[in-house]
Amino acid sequence: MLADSFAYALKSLRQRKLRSWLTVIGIFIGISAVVALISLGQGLQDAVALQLSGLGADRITVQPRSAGFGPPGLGSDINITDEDLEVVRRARYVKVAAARVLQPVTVGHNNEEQSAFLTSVPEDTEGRALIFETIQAKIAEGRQLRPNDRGKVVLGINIAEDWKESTPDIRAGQRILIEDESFEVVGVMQKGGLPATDEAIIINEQNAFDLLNISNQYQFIVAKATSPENVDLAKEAIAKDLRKSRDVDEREEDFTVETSNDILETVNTILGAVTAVLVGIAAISLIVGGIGIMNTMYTSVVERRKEIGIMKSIGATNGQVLTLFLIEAGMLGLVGGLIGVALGAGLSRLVEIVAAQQLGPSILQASTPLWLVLGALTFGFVVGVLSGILPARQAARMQPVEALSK
Amino acid sequence: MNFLALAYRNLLNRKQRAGLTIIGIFIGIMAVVALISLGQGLEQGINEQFEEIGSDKLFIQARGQFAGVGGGDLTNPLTDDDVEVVRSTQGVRRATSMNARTVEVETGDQVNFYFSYGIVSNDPEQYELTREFFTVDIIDGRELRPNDRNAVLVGYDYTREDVFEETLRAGDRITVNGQRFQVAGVLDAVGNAADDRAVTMPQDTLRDLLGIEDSVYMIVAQVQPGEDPAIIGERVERELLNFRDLDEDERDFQVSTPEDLLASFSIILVIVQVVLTGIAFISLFVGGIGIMNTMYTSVLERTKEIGIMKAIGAKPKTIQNIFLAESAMLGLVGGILGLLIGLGISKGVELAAAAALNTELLQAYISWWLIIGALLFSVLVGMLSGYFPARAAAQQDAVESLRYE
Repeated sequence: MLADSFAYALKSLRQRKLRSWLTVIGIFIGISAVVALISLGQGLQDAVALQLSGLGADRITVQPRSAGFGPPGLGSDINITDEDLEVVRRARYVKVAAARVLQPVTVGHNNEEQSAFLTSVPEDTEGRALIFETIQAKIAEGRQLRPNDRGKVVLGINIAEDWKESTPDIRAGQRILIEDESFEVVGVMQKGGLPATDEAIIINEQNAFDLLNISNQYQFIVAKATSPENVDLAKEAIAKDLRKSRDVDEREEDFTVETSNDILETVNTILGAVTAVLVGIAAISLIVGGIGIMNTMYTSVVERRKEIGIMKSIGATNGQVLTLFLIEAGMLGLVGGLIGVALGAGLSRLVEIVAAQQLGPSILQASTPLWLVLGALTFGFVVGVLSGILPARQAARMQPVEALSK
Repeated sequence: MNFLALAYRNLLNRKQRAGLTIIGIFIGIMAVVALISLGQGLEQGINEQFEEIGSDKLFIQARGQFAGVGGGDLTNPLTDDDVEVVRSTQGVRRATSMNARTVEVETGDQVNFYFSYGIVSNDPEQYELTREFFTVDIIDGRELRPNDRNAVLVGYDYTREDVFEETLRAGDRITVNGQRFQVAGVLDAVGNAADDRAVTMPQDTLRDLLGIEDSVYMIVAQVQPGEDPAIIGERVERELLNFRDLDEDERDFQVSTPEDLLASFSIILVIVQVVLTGIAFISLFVGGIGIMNTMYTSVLERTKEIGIMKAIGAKPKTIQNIFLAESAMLGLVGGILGLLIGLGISKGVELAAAAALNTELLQAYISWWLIIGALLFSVLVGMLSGYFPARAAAQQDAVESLRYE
């Protein structure tokens, strides 16, 4: 019976090919816009998650609280000291911790100057290992910084190469000026670690203190939890111990403790909101498409008045007539959904390729997961059925005598 | 023959279908009109803010402000000496400076980290200039006075119970970085949390509090009446380069006019507007397809009618015009409804934004060209969508049409 209904619905849609196609177009445009936007939003979220996973799910960052945005610790007058580092190290669930200096400095090369971030690595082996692991520093040229290196630095790729056209790139072995002091560049890092690494100069901690004429003040602490599952416990423990040692209660906290999950959540919230607004506006066209289906179905009911009358007079129930028209409407929606998913996925892929060509390898990627495909198909079908309800009810309630007499 | 009257009658004959088709168009027009109206309003609001500041100002900031408004961690910040250089540049009428830093603000037993602005208040001329670009009104209390040392102005949020458990009024005390200050005045709402929670104090006081020597975050200069800010801006740049002993390509500061700042704002706004409106246009397109569908159906249903008209001598052109008028009317009615509802929505958003965010920046801007443009566009969509069905009607064979059942 149901199979017959499907065959009948398909046949009547085919009889009005032009109208059916125009109706389907109205649906698939909306579905493809929605699918493309969600794909891109999803791809963007995936890409960010991938970048952050480089940070490690077991990593925790401690930095002074600040009202502004920007690199950790800057724009704030609160410093982190060895005492804080010791507290973090001893906190439960913390395996290892290291503190870093991060300060903007002026770099001189070939009589040109530019700004860069000076970032320190600790002298102790454990801390060094943690920092190098966190920044995922791979050396492109020369060697990595060694514990006893003095007057030596390793450069991020943008610091080595991002100069004027007339200025040759800096190679390992050359000397540069940092805050007017001469340093030997022992290595240049590869691109593609954390973005901040590309702009950074890596220097040994004591060397940084001497150069900047400071001591015992850092901009942030990186800690590693005993295991990725314990990262939230470690975060709590660090916050609690720091409150105690800095003698502040919870609402006066002058530092923030964040896991890479926290950062990921923030990013996802923002991306989610942007995607929701765009998809919301695109979904308006789906409503319009649904109204198109309704219109087509009403027309279809009027045209087939006689047919409905005959069906009813030979014993078709109201329910059967209703199902018949609902299937027809649902089919319009489903076909629209099918074409829409295919076009939308293709469209987002196209955006990805164009973006990659125009901007280089970018984080604008398309991701069309299975749930999106199934969701869009279901949604198309549901839009069709919903739009078909009123016309189908009209058809089902027709009086056979009246219908036949027209 | 009156095409419009005929079209109107034909549409009335198929009320339900015409109604649904019109809904399809008006939803699209509504979305586009609301988005454009709000976008224009936002642009207008920003323009007004810049106008208030005045086009005779120059803003000088050090480059590479890594920390945003932090400002204190620059390698080569601007200093009081630079302010003097700007002030003595020919064509500059007066100049002042300000600092901006993150501070620890204590109200009741709540501790938070907000911005503090240090402005020159001990020199009436500089204070007057400051208040020309720092245009927020004082809604409670008074301005800073020349001999104020421990008086501050606080942002509007300090009066909001939903933000601070203990709200403040003029005369109350507030603790900044451990030091007690008296609230001299409360500023009106700006609309963003950073400014509405900022504490503004005399520059010297902020410097003492944070141990800042002579660096400044921003220098603001006003050019002499009749002078071109762009030309004076270049002159200021040259003087500063000279004073700081830098070449043109080593420049570590930025001189900008309100127009420069406005331009960078506008570009972002335009991009956002184009993207949003572009997506909203998709629904108009779908609505257009709805018109096309309705018109094809209409042509089919009236095959016989068309045959009769042709048989009694109607030209193909006439038939085509009859159907075009019908589809144009569908578009126009959808356009009128969409315009009204779209403008209503944007007005509603304006009111909601004013109530929820305390900002007058998001306004519904209703211009004549938007009204006329939306109506013309909806007619155009109707006619474009109706073109193929109308041509199909016009090209029908009279004899075949009459035989159609």
